[in-house]
Amino acid sequence: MNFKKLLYTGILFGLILSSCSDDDDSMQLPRGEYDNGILISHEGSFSGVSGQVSFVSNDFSDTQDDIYNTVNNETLGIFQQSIGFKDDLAFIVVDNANTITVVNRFTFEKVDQITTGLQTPRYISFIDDKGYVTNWGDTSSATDDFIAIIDLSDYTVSTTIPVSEGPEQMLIKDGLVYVSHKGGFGSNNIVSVIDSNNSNAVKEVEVGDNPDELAFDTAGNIWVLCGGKTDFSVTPFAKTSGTLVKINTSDQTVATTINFTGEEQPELMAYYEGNIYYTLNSKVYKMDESATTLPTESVIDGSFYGMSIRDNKLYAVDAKDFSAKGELKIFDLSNNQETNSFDMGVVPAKIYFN
Amino acid sequence: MKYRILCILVTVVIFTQQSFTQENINILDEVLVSDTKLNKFSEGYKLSKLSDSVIRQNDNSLTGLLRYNSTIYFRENGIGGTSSASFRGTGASQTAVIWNGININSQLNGQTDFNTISVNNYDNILIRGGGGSVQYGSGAIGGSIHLNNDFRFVNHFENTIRIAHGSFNTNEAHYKVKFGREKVYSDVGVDYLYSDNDYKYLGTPFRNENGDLRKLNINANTGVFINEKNLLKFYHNTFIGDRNFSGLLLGNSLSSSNDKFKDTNSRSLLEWKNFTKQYTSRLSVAHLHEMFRFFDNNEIEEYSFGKSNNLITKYDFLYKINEDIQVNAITDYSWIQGEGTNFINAESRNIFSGTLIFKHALSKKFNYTFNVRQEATNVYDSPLLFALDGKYNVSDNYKIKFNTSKNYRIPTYNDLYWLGPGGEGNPDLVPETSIQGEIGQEFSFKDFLLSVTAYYINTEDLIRWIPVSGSVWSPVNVDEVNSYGAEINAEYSTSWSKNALSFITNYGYTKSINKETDNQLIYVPLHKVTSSVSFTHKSLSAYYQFLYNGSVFITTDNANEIDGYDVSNVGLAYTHSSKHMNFIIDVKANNLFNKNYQNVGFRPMPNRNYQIQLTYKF
Repeated sequence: MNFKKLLYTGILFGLILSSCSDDDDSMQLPRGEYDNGILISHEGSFSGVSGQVSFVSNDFSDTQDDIYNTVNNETLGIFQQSIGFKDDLAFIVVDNANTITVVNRFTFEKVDQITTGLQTPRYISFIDDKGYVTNWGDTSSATDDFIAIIDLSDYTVSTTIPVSEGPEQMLIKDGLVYVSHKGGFGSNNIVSVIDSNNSNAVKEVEVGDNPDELAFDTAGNIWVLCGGKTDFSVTPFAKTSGTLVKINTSDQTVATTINFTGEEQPELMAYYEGNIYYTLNSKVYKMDESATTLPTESVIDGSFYGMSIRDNKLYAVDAKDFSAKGELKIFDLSNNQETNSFDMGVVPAKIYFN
Repeated sequence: MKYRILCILVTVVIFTQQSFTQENINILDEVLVSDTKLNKFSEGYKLSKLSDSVIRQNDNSLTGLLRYNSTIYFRENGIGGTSSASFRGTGASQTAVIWNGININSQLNGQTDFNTISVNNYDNILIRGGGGSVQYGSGAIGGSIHLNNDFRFVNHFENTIRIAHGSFNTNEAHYKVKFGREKVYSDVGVDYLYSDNDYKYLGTPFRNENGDLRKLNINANTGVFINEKNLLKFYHNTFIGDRNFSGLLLGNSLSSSNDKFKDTNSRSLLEWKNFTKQYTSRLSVAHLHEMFRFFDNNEIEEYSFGKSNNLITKYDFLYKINEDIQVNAITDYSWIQGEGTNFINAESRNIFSGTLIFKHALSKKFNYTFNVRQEATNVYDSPLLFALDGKYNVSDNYKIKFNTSKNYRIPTYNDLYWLGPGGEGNPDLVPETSIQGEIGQEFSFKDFLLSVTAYYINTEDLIRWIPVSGSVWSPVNVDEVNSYGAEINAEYSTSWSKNALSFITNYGYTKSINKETDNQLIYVPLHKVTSSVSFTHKSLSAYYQFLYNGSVFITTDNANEIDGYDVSNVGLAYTHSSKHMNFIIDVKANNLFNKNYQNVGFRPMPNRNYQIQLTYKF
């Protein structure tokens, strides 16, 4: 589609369908250089390599490294943990720097930076005009972890909610913030549920050890991937097996628990069209959301540090030796074959669709 | 993030020792008893001695001294933080630090933190390039640094007081007393340093927060001639450090830190020497203790720790068969025990070794030395080590030196027994081994000295921590590295009427290539240059010191690097000597051109800073 045609169609549809055109990206003008592409967040390395964001266009014709630095001529440090998106904005969370940098998600121009009130921030999610940020606090302390609430009108931390150790990822439904508690450098086994409509009251739901990844299923319930914990005080390490837990979002109780066995510890999870994909021992497994037992056959091989799915394609990043270029691989889920791969920066970790 | 713990494990440097080594004194050099054995059995090696005046020019840590006066490269985590050496492209645990003949690299991590060694406490400091495991034990692959105390058996009583004050509220005090008679010698030295160390990060609004440090070093040495043939010597050194570790400069923000690191190292050596013109017999017992405590939060009394004790007994017998042939046999037994928060099932080590050295002067022009060593231990399989070196005096102005050797670095307690979040030691590790060689040429012409050395080191079974599963890293004997390069050293000194001029420069070209990837190792600069010029007129002297450190790669694929930098220091000294009073006043300005540079990623180095120092002798 040439640009003029796109422009014309866009304007036309924009005029006619002004109220619902938001949902149809293909009919829109690119809103910036980094619209219509994939953003890969990199953690960076302790050896001196800053975290960064790479861009790969949806048609794979264009790849760019370190786009935040390219646009703003500055780096953000380590470890770039995650990115949250709200309207036209992206919020880049860097844990050791204790910052969240707000950029326009399509141009990557810096809008603002939150530099106070955060301590080891991990993830950000949004309800209305508030951002919820999980913080580990001082990593040596198990009791100072908190959720920081960001006022999006001025990008400041307006209040904090103390929570149990190691709050990690979040999903939001019906004004409730579901927080997995991976446990920071320690261990934990709960999902906190914070009620934004009720003075942010916190309720805890016990799940498996070290809950991390969260995903909605078709019915709007939440699946929690619990990695299992490792007891480092004994030798050989004592490990607990991972679990897949489904939380019923209507009453915030555990509806289903599927146990891994033999000290198996799954790491990543993504949900796509009725199936749960998870990684275990350098393999990707696929499980129907209605299944009650774990699959025995894997669908894809590879050692991945991050994984996302869109349009029947699985995007996965390999961090290699954690001190050199990583790689982005794309698999077609209709036949589980690798279709593309791209060199990435140092420690690629999260994949987002822009 | 998950590997931050591991980074702490890898970067936190601790201290102590290793066993076997030898070196010492040989037949009395008149009244001065010093380390002649080092010279005697290292003829085919490049030995550089750092003079007193050079030692006085730099700050009191061994890092500062060697950074500006040798080709050794340092990874210093900000000024005063932990500091490890890379000598000839090798890793942090492949440079041995030898204290009065004893290898003091840490049993816990295999390294010496060069910021815990106070240079004021030693009478001479030598750099020995090349492999030296036969004589100096584990880790002497890139080379070794020798810290020596001399004993003067002559009537004297000397006191030296040195006080210094400098930028960032840096304060130092040093006192040393030496006492000697015909048959007795004693000295005691105390060294204390305190610094806020809160220098500016140039180009940012930040300072080096939480970088303050306190260091105390105590040295005491005593020697007694029991009779003409028997000498007893006792050496002692204690270091106590209390350092906060600063945070990181991350883009436009400062990552605050409240880490604190306290460490204590103490070393004692008792030696009984019995000698005639024909033989020298030495029996020595040494105890080395190291202990560190790492506080994640300096306001909370919670810490992780590691410590080790190393007891060494050694017997060394040197026999002169004739004027041209000497043989030296050494047996050494070490018992080492380590423990710590993160060591589980750490076994104590018993290491027994036997060494034979044969030195032969074939002619006045040519001599060679052959060394061989085998050890036996309960912890790992140990290879047979050897060294062959020689020196050929082609003419009075031209010498050729060569050596080849097999060396090793034994697995550390961290490597074998670490158990903690993110990491698991591997008890099945074998020592890293190297085969290496070098050839050096030395030209001297009147006031001019030039030496050119080329070396090659092949190291196998290098221990590297790699991710073995998602959240656990473990060390494995995985890498093979070829290091090769050249070192050029030129010196010129002259004097006329009441003036003296000297010029010294060192250049190191270092390739250190991972054989599998063909890439240069991270944090090994290809080029390093140090130069200094000093000029003395009567009692005034001035110097200018220059360092160029080439860029270093910070990723294993060599895609990212930290820029190279150059730094200049200047100083002025006034020396007053009279019958009643001797003193020196030094004024120094470091980083004269206020360069903004980093030596290790995310850690800016100090801006321009000043120091004034008074040395008073009576």
